[in-house]
Amino acid sequence: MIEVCNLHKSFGDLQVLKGVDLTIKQGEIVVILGPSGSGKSTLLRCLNCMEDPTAGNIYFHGVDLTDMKVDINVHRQKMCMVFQHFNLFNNKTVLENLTLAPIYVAKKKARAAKWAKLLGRPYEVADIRSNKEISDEAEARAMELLGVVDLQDKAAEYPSKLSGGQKQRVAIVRALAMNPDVMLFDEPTSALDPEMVGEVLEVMRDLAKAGMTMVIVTHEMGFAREVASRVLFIDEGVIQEEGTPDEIFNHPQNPRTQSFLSKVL
Amino acid sequence: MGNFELKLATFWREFYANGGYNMVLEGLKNTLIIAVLGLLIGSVIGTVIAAVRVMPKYKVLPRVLNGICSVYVSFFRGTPMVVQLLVFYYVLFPLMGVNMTSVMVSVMVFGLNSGAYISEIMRGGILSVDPGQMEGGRAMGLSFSATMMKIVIPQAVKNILPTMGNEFITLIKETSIVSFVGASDLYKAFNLMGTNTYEFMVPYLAMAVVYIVMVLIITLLIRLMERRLRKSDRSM
Ligand SMILES: Nc1ncnc2c1ncn2[C@@H]1O[C@H](COP(=O)(O)OP(=O)(O)O)[C@@H](O)[C@H]1O
Ligand SMILES: [Mg+2]
Repeated sequence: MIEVCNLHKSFGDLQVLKGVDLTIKQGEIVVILGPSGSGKSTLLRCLNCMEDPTAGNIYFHGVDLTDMKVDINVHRQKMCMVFQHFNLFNNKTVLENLTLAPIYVAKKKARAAKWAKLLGRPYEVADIRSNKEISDEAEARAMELLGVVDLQDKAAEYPSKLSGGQKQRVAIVRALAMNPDVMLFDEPTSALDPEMVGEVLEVMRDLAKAGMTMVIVTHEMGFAREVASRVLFIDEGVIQEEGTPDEIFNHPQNPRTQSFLSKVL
Repeated sequence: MGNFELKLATFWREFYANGGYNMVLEGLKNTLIIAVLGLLIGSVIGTVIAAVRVMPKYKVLPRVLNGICSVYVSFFRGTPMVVQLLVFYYVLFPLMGVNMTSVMVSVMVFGLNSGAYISEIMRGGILSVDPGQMEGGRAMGLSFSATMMKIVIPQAVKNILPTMGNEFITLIKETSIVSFVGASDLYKAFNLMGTNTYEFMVPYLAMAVVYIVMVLIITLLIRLMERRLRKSDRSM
């Protein structure tokens, strides 16, 4: 589903990624480990081109995202990201946070289809819908998703009224509302008070069980061991070692991996 | 002091009995039209320029737009508004064959001018919004402009409301220059009363009072608005 070829990323003189190759298949849960500053976030952010790679290619469903001619927004809608600091829209209610992007996408499609119809070009009949239909459907879906994370009663609240754990659960279902093919998590529990980590991991565990493809940067080793189909260890800008959780956690081969794990376990 | 009372009486006669208040009302109306419309136009222009100036700049188009915006802002911030008014009214618009009343020209120039200032205010407002808000939008597949419009600018506006109030007050006061192009404003009204009676002291004092009262009322309104906004997001 995602294929990363020889990815390099520098910030000015600082070489952060020095040639990363990675393939992520449908349904895989890839956990990325590595010391702080090793480029985990950078790698994740290159996947959806939030950072433009300095060199190398990212293929998503066979399309090269580093090609400047590609409409990156369309692909990001299928590759949603969950951030350490949630990044919920502060000026929108919880419900609006979930419906904003789906409504935007659906309206855009409807507009494009209407134009195509007018100009006699091919279009999807199903795309032509009224604004009301679009927002009703988005809201119904949003309420359903809020139900999954037990936050239906917060639908009308603003993010500032939520606890950290609640915010992150909203952020996860906000991403889910796009029906993404893959979800990227950048340390989703690192900014949370310890008692709230569990509720967020619970949601992610359910996603894993439901077969969602996920790429997760985390320091929750227990969680990584439990859900990962593959674990990568990154340091010095390259993937030092990768394998099953058992291989990485119980029999690490690379001395860097060994020393990292001895510090965090 | 008897002299002052006499002057006061003269002014009052001119203002009330001889219908000077009509011109004052007309001037007040024009002042408000120019300041309010100028602020609205300026807000639109300023917001667009600010958005262009914070765009990521590795593509060509944003760079070109950014250059145009810089020139625009330096021109309008670098020349006095009276000069802009004169240039537009006597040079540019006639050259372009545009025929507009002096009040409409004033509205345009005030809008263009405050657009330059508001763009700087708005840019500060946008930069004060957590960059995570833009990231959150972009990561969901919203375009730069959609994220700007739906997420970042509404939050920026909240932050800059007090400064925008100041800009409005500046515009109100600056309207005292529009008589340069013949528009009826407060200056013209009170000045005429002075010319008619050969007595300028009271009319000019009265003019100052009118401006101060206007500014005080606006300040009060802004305070009220801010308080309501603050109440609505007490927990932020
Ligand atoms: N936008 C940026 N500009 C400059 N340097 C950056 C930027 N983002 C990250 N870096 C640098 O890149 C390195 C890797 O950062 P990051 O990917 O965030 O590491 P990690 O997530 O593994 O802790 C760090 O040294 C960081 O300072
Ligand atoms: Mg990081």
